[in-house]
Amino acid sequence: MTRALGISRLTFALAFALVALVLALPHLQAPMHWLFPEVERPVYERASFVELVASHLALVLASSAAATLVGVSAGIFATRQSGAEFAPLINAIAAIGQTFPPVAVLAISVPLLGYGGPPTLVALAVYAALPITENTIAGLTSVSRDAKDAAEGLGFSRLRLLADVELPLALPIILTGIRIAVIINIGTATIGSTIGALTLGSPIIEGLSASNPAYVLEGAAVVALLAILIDRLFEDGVHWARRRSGTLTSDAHAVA
Amino acid sequence: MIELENVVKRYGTRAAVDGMTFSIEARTLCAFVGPSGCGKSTTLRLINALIRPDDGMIRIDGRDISAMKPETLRRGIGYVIQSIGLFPHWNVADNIATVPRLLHWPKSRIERRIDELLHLLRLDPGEFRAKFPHQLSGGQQQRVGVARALAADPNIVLMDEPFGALDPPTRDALQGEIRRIQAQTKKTIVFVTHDMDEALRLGDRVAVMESGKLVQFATPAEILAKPANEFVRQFVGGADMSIRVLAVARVAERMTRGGTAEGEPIRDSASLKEALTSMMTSRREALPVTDEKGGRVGVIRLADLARL
Repeated sequence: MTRALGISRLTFALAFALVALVLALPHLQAPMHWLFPEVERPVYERASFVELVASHLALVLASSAAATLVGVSAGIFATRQSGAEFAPLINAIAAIGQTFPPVAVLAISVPLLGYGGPPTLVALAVYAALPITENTIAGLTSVSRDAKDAAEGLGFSRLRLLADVELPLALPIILTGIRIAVIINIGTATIGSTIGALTLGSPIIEGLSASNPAYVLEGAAVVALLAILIDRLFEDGVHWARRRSGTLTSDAHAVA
Repeated sequence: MIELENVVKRYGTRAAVDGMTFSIEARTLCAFVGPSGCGKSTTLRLINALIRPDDGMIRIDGRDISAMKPETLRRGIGYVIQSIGLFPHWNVADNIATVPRLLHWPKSRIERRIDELLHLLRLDPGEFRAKFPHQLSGGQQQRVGVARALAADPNIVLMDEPFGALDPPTRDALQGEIRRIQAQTKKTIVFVTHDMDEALRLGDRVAVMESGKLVQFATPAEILAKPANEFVRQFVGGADMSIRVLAVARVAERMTRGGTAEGEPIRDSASLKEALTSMMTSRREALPVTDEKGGRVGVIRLADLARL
C-alpha cells in the first residue's frame, strides 16, 4: 500500500470520512427524518458532535496514556532481575483482570469516585493497563537471548540495553497491547455516559432511554468510524515499528 | 597479558571451573578446547566479567578485573559469540559502530572505522553498510560480528565458538581470516572451541580442559608430540594423532638442508600435509624446498614425513 509519512491512504480516507460525518450530521435533519419518520427530533442536538468527539477522544487519550505509562513500567519491572519475583503475580493480575468485563470496572469506580468524567477516566486507565502490561512482558521476554548476550558482552549498561535493544525490539508487541487497550477504551468510554461523562455514548444512551433509534445510530456510527480510524493508525504504527525492529522482511527496506 | 590465578567458579556444588591457573601472552592466539561441560566457555566469560569467580584472581595487563567497572572492562575487550547476536533492528554499519558509540567517538571517526573494518573482513562497504542482519548469510553475519568486536580496536578479543554455527567451507574461510587479522592487527585473541582440529590449526597455544581443570597448556606441536595424559591423547585423536601432526608441523622442521630434487618446489612454511599432497599428486618421493625469498634451501623426502 502507498504510504505518506508512514500513513496509508486508507487511513487518510477514513479520517476524511469521520470529519465529513461529524460536520455533516447537524445538517442531516431531512434524510434522518425520512429514515425515522416517527421520531420528532431525529438529530442529537444536546451537544455538538464535534464536542462529543473531542470529549470522547480526550477521555480515551488521557486514560490510554496513563495506562501506557503504568503498563509499560510494570512490564519493564517484571522483566528485570529485581522484579523477577513479582513477574508471576503481575502476569496473573494482567490475565485475570482482563476476564472482568470493562463495564464492571466502570460500575465499581462509581461508588469509589462518584459520577462524571474522572471515574470514567480512572476505570478506563485501570482496565487498559492490563493488556499493555501483558504485552510489554511478552515483548521484552521475546527479545532474542543472543542480542542481549552480545550487548552485555560488548559493555552495554542495563539502561542502555533496555533503551537501545530491548524496547525497540519489543516495540511491535507493546504497540499491539496499546492498540488493544485503546480500541477497548473507545468502545467502553461510551458507557461512561451512563455515569455522567460526556462522550459519544451520550446520544446512544439517551436514544435508548427515550426510544429514539436515530440518536443511537448517530452515536454508534461516529464511534465505529472513530474506532476503525484509530485501529488503522495503529496498523500503520505497528508496520513502522516492525520495519524498524528488523522483524519485517520482504519489501521493508526498499521503503526505508 | 591475561593471568588467571587459581580461579574457581561453582554452580551449586559442582565446580564448573576448578582452580584454573595460567597466563595468556599478549599478541598471541590462544584456544580453549575440551568436551562440553569442561569449563572452557565459563573460563572465557570470566575474563570479561560476564561471570564472577567464587575464588581466585584474574588480571589483565597486571590489573585485577574485579576492581574495574564491568562495562568499562567489556568495552575494552572484543566479544564474539557462536549465535553471533547482531542487533536485528540495526544495519551493518550501526552494528559495527556499537562500541565506538558507547565510547562516544566522534561521528567522522566512527564512519571511517566502519569502512576500515568492512575492508578488513572483506565485505564491500558500498554493498553491505546499509544491509540488515536478516539480509546476510551466516558467514557474512559472523564477519560483521567479528568487525563489531574489533570496532573500538581492543587489545583483547574473546570468541566463544565463533565458527560453531557455520558450514565447513564458510568456517574454513573465516578461520583463515582470523589468522590473517591476528597477524595483521597483533591482537590477543582467545577463542573457545570443542573442535581439536580447529584449536591445533589456529592456536599459538592450546589450553586443553576437562571437568573444570586445565589438563595441558602448550603449543599445538607439543600437544601432539607429548600429550599430557590419556585424556589429551584420546581427545587429540588417538590413532589419528600422527596424521594430525602433518597438518600442524612445518616443512622447515623436517627437511634436509642442502641437496636437490626435481620438479615444482614447496615453501618451507608449508605444512607437512601440503607436502604430502604435492608428493602424491605429482608422484614424487622428494620435493625441493624454497625459503621466503624463493631460494632453494633443501629437500623434503617422503621418509621425513613419516619420521616421528
